[in-house]
Formats: sequence, C-alpha cells, structure tokens
Amino acid sequence: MNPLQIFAESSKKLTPSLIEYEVGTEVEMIVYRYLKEVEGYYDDILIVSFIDAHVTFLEYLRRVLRRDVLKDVEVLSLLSKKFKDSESAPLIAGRLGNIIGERKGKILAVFLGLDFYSIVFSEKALLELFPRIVNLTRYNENLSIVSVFNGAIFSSSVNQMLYTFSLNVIKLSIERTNGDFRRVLTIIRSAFPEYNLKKWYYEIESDEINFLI
Amino acid sequence: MIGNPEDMMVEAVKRATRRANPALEKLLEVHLKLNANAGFELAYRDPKRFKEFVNKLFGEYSGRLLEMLIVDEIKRLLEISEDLENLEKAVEILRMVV
Repeated sequence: MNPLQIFAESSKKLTPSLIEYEVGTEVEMIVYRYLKEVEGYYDDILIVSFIDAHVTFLEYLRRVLRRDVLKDVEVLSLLSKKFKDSESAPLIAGRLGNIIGERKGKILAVFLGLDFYSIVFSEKALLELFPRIVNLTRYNENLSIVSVFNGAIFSSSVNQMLYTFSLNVIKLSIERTNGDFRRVLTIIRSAFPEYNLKKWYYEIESDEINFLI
Repeated sequence: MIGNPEDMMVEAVKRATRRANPALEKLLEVHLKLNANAGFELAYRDPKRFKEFVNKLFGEYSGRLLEMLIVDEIKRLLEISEDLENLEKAVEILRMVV
C-alpha cells in the first residue's frame, strides 16, 4: 500500500482524520486522490467548504486535470462571499448537525477552508468551532470526518487542539535538501502503528502521485 | 514606519510567505523574477497577475491561503479591521490611506 492508501484505509476505521499541509505541497491532488480511493466505500461524500475554499480546490483540479471532476460530490458552502451567513460556531455546528443527521448510509464529510475561517475570524473562533465539528459524529454514527488544514501558520494552541481531536493524521510538508525542495508525506498517527512516523517523498505528474521512499 | 503603499505591500508579502513557510519566500522571489521579470511589488502593481503566478507555483488552494495571509498582514500594518476579501481590495485600500 502507498501512504495515501494507508491513510484512506485508516480513515475508514478511525475518525476524525486530519490532512495537515504546508503551502506548496499540492494538497489539492492529495485530497482528490484520497477521494478517488474511498469513493466506492461511502454512500455520500460531502465537501463542507468555508469561505469558498472549494472554488480554489476545484480550479486547481480543472487546470491540472484539464477536465471537470468530482461532479457527484455535494458541496455545502458556508460563509461564502455570495451568501454571508453567521460565523458563530454553535450555529454552524447546529446547521451541519441537522444536515448530517438526516443522512442514511455511510457519509464522508471533508472540511475545506477551516484555516481560511481562522485567518478571517480569529484563532479563538476556530478553537470554538473545531471541537463542535468533531462532535458531529453524535448526530450520525456513520459519519467520517476529514479536515484539511494548514497548521504551520497558527499558534501551538491551534495545532495542539487539532492533534488532540484527530485520530488519523498525515502531514504534507516541504523539505529542503541540497538546495532542492522536495514534498514529503508523513503518517503521524493511524490505525496501523507500524506505519506511524514513516515518511515518503512524493512527486506529482499529471494526475498521478508518485511516492518515493 | 512604512510610508509608501508599494513598500507596504512588499513587506506584507514577505511577512505572509515567512508565516506560511520561511523557505518559500526565496522560491517565490525567484519564480517571479524568472517568469514575470518582477519582484513582490507585482502584488501591488498587478495583483491579478501576481496571483496567477502564485497559483501556478503553489496551487490555487495554497495560493488563496497566501492571498488571505497577505491581506491579513496589510490589515495589521494599517491597523484596520475592515473586511478585505481579496488582494485587489487591499491594494485599493492601500492607495486610499497610505
């Protein structure tokens, strides 16, 4: 199994999951490939997008893959510039709880733009929101949660909270070796302890991710 | 104290890239030099084009994150709390108040 398949398998067993990324790691392709890995497993896949994060995510995929993808994936857009809704954590969680609670079958909710939310509304707002997102599993026991988040730009209290609440974690980072930049995927925590803290270099070629040891 | 709006934007870009990943500041600088024959001042002179270069280098999602960080740094430098949704809006404000 490559590390993305390990993460995908682990995310079926443990939730919530976290994809922590740094700028320049082409997180869009990692998320896309992850969704392709798990799409047959879930009855419903929902992208919960804060501040139009899904727009940039899909723009990247359209540019790189030269076609429209993820047409069957439902997008729930929150705090879009088109429809200004409330940034209140309890209200957001309540709305999501209602939507998710009604669904039948296995559901995957991928949260994009929580970092955007934190930049716009403050770290404090995120500290109030994230535990409520994690708690959405009480509305539906068949719910799996994956958050995509740039931890590097926030304080240690935010990172601590994300790591405390996430049971399945990969980190995408940039490593500088001999003047060269290389992308690295590290499995931080998973359902498969033998892989924890192992890292793989990776390269993106067209719509494929090549993992190198 | 930075009195010139273009210098303020350059400072905001530097602070934002350092916040995102200090190693990326040089990378972005070289990318802009090679592809646009410009420096960080492009963010002030032609924000749309600057964003296109950033997106090509880092991807649209990270590009948007970096844009939000630059806007956040502009707000800090100007000590304002206005809702500035993008770089173009930040340039407008810089032109008005600096």
